[in-house]
Amino acid sequence: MNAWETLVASALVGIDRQPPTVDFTDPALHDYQETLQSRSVTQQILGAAGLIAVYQTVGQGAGKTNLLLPEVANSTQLTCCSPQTTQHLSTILQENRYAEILPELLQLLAQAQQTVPPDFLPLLLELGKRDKKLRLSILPVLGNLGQWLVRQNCQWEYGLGANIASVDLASIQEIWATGSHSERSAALAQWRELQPAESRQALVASWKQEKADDRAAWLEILQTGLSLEDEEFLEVALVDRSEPVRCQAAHLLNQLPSQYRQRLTKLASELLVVQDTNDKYKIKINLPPEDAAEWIASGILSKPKAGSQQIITIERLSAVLIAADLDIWPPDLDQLVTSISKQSTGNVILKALAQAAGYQQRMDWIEALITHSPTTFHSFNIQAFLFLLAKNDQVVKERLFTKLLSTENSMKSFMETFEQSLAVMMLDQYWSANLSSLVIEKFYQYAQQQSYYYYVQQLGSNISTHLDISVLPKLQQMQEASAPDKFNYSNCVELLEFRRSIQAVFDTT
Amino acid sequence: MTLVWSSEQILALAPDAGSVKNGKALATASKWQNLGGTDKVLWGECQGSGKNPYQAQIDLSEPAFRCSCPSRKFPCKHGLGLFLLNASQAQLFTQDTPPAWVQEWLDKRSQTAEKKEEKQKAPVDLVAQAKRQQKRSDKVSAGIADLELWLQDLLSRGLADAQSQPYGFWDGMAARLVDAQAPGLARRVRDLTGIANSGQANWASELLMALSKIHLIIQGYQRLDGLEPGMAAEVRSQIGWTTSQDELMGLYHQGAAATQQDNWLVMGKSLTEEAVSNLQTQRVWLRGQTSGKLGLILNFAPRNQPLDVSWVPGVLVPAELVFFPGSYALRAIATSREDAQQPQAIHGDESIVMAIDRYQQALIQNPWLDRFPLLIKVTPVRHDGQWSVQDFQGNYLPLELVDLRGWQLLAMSGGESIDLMGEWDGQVLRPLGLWRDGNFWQVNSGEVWS
Repeated sequence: MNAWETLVASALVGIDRQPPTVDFTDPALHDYQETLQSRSVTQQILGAAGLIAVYQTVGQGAGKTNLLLPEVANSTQLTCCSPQTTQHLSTILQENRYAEILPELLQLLAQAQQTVPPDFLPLLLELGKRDKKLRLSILPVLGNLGQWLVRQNCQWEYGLGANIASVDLASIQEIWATGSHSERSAALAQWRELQPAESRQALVASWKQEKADDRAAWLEILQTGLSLEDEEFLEVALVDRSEPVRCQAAHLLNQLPSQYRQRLTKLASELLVVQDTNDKYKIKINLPPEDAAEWIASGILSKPKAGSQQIITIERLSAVLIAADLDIWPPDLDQLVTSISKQSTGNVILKALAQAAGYQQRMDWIEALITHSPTTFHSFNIQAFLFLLAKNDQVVKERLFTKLLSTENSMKSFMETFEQSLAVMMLDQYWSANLSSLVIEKFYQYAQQQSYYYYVQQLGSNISTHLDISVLPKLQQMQEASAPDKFNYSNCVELLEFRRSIQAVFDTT
Repeated sequence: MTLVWSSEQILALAPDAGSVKNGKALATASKWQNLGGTDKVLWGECQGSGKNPYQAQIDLSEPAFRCSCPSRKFPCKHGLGLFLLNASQAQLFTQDTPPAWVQEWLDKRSQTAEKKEEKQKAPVDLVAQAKRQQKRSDKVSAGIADLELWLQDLLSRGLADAQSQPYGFWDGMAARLVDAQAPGLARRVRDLTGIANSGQANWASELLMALSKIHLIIQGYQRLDGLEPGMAAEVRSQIGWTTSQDELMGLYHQGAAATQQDNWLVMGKSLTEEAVSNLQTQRVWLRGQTSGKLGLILNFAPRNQPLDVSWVPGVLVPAELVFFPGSYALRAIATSREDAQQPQAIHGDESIVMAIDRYQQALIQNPWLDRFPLLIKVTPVRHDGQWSVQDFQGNYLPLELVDLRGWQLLAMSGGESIDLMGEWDGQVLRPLGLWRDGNFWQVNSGEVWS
């Protein structure tokens, strides 16, 4: 026990029970020992403790380590954003306001080939860790410093995807062969963009060893550069033991003039009987038995799912109609859609036809469906519309939505249609000035009727992130005209003003 | 070089998070009219909810703020908004002749400064002062005698017994010391409660160390006449015998106080809050560019009340400091100061050993020193979830900071050495600011230590 420990032990139990022994072994303190011994016991223990404490603190040096310092980051290839943009970032990331605007700000930074100030990098990377949707927006603004930082923290591993853009094919192949799951996903996506055939072959080579979830996720990557060359592999995936893989394969094959489509077109032609009577169509469906060879041969549900016979039949019929060539139907689409919508199974058929129209890029079909069956729009498959919209230009999209929103309906129908249209439109990040103007006019009408205040506020706030900022004056007018008990436009106006200030920085630069 | 205020530095002046948010919202051109500015002052008119616009103005020499709005916050959102707007869009400040309302304020400030100086130069009633001091000495002596008995009793019964005592045991002694006009000792006694109930394995060792420091103060007080003047002043200061700013300025005018003229680098600013008294203490750490001398500007205010915002971290302030008496004089006030400037280059200690050596030299002169400013060239590193800084020789110091701040520190460094400033308490370093490539970054922005 050293001198200090002796003093503590004595102090702990009390100096009456265990008087302290002041015995300095260190020569530097030795001279004080005699002085202390002439004092009272309390003074002895406290004086000795004070001496040792100060002596030890003064003599205490820094710790020494053999650990290597981290490698130094390369100087960044991107320029740092302006002070104004730094303020905008601070508002979003440090004050947690206008978080919905972050993707737009990051996109503007990426377009201007700018990066964020260093102290914002950890905040962004933390956000990306929690919000996968943000990752694609974050990666381009990380710069060399951000990528270096990612390598220091395994929790930000997703940021390594940013590396791939600047490395060669050999590195991509290396990452595909040896990387972690997220690294391999990023590598495959990049490889597919550069070499669709080679990347598919790489996937085919490792297909049997991959887990079911990975197989489905990586099959989705084939959407990029999808072509008939992928058909053979997709036919293999169509009979995979995993249902998500089979669904993904069917989703891709539906987009191609494939043998799969031909098989199902032939099957649909055999099942459907369209009778033309007095300018009306009557659709009759001759379904084969559950275990008929036609289902298996066509690749529809190679393993029957559990469920009632009716559900199984509807699912199989839908799958056939979604995949079959739309040209098997009579050419008078207006009449056809009107007739189908009046049949008992009409909703199922129209829903399937809407998806087929999306896959086959048939605007004539979409317009006929919207015109003659607007109330069934909300039951259409959103994904099919997204697919359709993603491949059409802004003019086509606007025509579609203008038609949809301008169709005369009952108020109930309008409310539903508006909500469903917004759900689809909001899949696009930004709207044109014309579409924005139309949306806020309809929103004003909608907000006057909708009684769920919080829901409308939320919807209004969501819309504001998509609107073109040219509608700001119109919104300000609405703010003034709106009744106090109705929707409050001030949040929308504030958000658009913030977006305008963000965009102004990049407009001037 | 004229100082260019960064948004970071301006926002550090905000009294609270709400002011930061509102100030930023006002930092847009559309909210302002009649914007103008010179090297010394900025002004502008902001339309608020009232009929007339609010007139906001900033004296850049400190900086000092004034606004015609009714807000009690200082600076208000208009002052911050105006300052931020100037930092981001200086070209908007087109007027260069201060209007009458700005000139009036500047004149008034100048007159107030002159009056203050005259008051400080006024003769002191020495007889009355000596009488007051004697009365207090008597009270303090009685309080210290009481404390000695209390310590003797505590050690006789043992620390284990003291640990089981209620809070009143410690607070009662602290309250008697407050009555005896020994608030410095009272604070140390009150802190003992926290150590005894810390739950740490080494609580007894820490408690004995804290008691021994109190004992050192008592011993010093009992030998006050035999101590050299600096140490005597330090002991009095530790007891709580404060020297007011007016008294210090009186000593200054008599030529009896230590002074230093220099360009002072504002190295960092920290804020602590005492739960019991609700008192905020702001520490501003300075370092003389030429003399290398260290300075500490202390500022106290009740919670939610404004603190002095004129010392902005990261800038260089040409000023004369006068130091409060002490064995290692750190605390100071400015007798005169000029406009803040952008520092040209920052030179932290090249190694941790050099920096710690400075601390040890200071500790030899003042064994009660609880915080010491270090400015060192180091690289932040993270091992086993703990942050530390490491120098080129492999020496390291542990850091006290939240994990995200550590990552920000690392991002700012990019793996290279940075000039890091922090408060060292002998155990951990609390980072307050850093420089890299001439840019300053406040590490602890908005954080309050308890």
